[in-house]
Amino acid sequence: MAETVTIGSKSYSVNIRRSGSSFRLQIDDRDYDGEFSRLNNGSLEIIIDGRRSITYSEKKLDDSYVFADGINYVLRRQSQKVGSVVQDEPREDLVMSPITGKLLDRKGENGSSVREGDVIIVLEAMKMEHRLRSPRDGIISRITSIEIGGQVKEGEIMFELEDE
Amino acid sequence: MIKKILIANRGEIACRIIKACKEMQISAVAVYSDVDSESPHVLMADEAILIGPANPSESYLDFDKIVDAAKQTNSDAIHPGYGFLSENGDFAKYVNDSDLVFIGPDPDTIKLMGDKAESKKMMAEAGVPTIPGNDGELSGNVDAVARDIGYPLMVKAAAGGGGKGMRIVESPEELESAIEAASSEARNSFGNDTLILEKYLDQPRHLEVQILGDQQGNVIHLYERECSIQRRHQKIIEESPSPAINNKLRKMMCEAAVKAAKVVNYSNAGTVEFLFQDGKFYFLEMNTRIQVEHGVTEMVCGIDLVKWQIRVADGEALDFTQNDVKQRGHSIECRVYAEDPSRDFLPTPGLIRKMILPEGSGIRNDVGVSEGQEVTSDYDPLLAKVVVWDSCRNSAINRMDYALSNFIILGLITNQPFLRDIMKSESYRKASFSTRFVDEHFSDWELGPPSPEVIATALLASKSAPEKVSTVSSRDPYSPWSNKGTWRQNI
Repeated sequence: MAETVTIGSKSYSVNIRRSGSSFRLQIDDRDYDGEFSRLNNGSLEIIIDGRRSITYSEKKLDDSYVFADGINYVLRRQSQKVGSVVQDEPREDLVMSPITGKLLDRKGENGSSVREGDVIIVLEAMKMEHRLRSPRDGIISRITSIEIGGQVKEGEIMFELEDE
Repeated sequence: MIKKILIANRGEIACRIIKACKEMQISAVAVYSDVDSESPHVLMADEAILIGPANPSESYLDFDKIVDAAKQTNSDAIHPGYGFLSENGDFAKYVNDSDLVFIGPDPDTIKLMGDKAESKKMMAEAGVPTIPGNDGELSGNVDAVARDIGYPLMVKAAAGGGGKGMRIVESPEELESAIEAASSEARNSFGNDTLILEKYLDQPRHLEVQILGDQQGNVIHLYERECSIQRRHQKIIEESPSPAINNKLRKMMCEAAVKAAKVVNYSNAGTVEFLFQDGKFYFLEMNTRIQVEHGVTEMVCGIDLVKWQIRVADGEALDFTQNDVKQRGHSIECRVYAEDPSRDFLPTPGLIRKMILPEGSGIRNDVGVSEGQEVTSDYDPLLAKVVVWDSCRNSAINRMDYALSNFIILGLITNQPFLRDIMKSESYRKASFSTRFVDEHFSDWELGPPSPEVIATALLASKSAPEKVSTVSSRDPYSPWSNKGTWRQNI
């Protein structure tokens, strides 16, 4: 089954078929034939087009961490379902925390009227401050109820806007 | 006589100091917070004392808890490392008043150099070149002061450092919000929102001179470090010597640094930072502690700075003179951070699932994390420093790229690919850069497209892979697996 692999901001449609130590890998419209085996230290030996690489990988939920070609990669994997939308369009009204860290300040409450560029949320992670600004003029319809000093997770909704 | 040292820090610098202690047959005591109970510095030390929760103000910044831990373990001295309490004059005094040795300069020197406005004034009086700006605390008609200095200018916290509480102001309209942001950051980071304004140099290099002084009044320099490769005003790559200056300028700058240190009767290790533009250098600040990037100086000078910090604090005199200190070959440091260079260097905490460090001649790793460790968002995202030495700059760059290409760290996003791309770039090799290097050449940086091996590894790793079989082993010719003509859907 084909799946989508995302590295940074780029996504690739990939599929692999295996037969013993051989495999055929499809990345978008290109095919690669290769051989692989697992070494005693947990790494993989992969040979594609006669080129040999020793690679390492670790997995956590949908994320794969791969070391190959002297680079440490993080890949996000998603299976492709026919007819489904792979990713929702990002919504401008919803501001989420880009980091895991601590809530330092909340400069608004439900019903507050805000202007584009106003700082609404101040976060701190690894000794750096991060300010979340309002993406547009509007009214705060929802804002995080986490207490000041509390932990915020990456992707958690910080505030939502509605029209004035 | 110092026989036992408490290290009031964590991460790689705590490990670095513990190693120096062990080599000197001095016992090392670690302190740690709840989340650090299995951190490398705790495991390496001879004793370890829990001093509180993750929040630094309740642990690594708590005077009483640290001094109590030193007393409880019969320590003779406290090494503050960098960051945390290292440049807190009140802490240094508190340590000394508790009959313990503070491994660093005199508390009054720390306080004086910690006040950026006061220290700048003092350096100007001593004849060390300084950046044009307002000399004292920011007050009165700020707009007029700013107009006199001229735009662009820099608003910065008088108590600042490490890029916090600092804003560049391009035009008068931006002044008010910059002052507001800088003072709030300064208040939160340093508990002091005093700001100073100064002329903003648009293409400066950041150079600094390593100083070492003893309590007998000897002050020497260990040459310069080039620290222009920064992001968000924080250094990521440093080297020594600087490719920007000739021997004449080097001599002038190093002598100015020694002069600056002598003005304040400096003892122990310290760093005089300069901005350098158009052939001129300006005093920026003096850091009264060991620096993150001290390793490159140790590599080219062959002098162990941390050991000398301890010896000098113990009353020993330097056993070498300025003439004995030579800058040999070239050294580069890359800081491996838990951060995402493609998303504005946002911190990226996570669990280190695998870590293999590079090895080889001329490669040194100063590491503060280990496999299986959770990197939390409570502390600085510095994971490790890779330091290399080789005979010339070009060879050192090649060696660094080799070292980075053998640095395996899986389980979280790091800047390792970004550092490699800088090492490979023409712009870094040419060395005609300023502190704007990252903005100018790498602001839209993204990881390059992966090779098929990368994707294959991700897809194959989760499946049961065959063990490597030697080519002489017999295979069943009738097995469906040996039939290479047909492809089987993977299950």
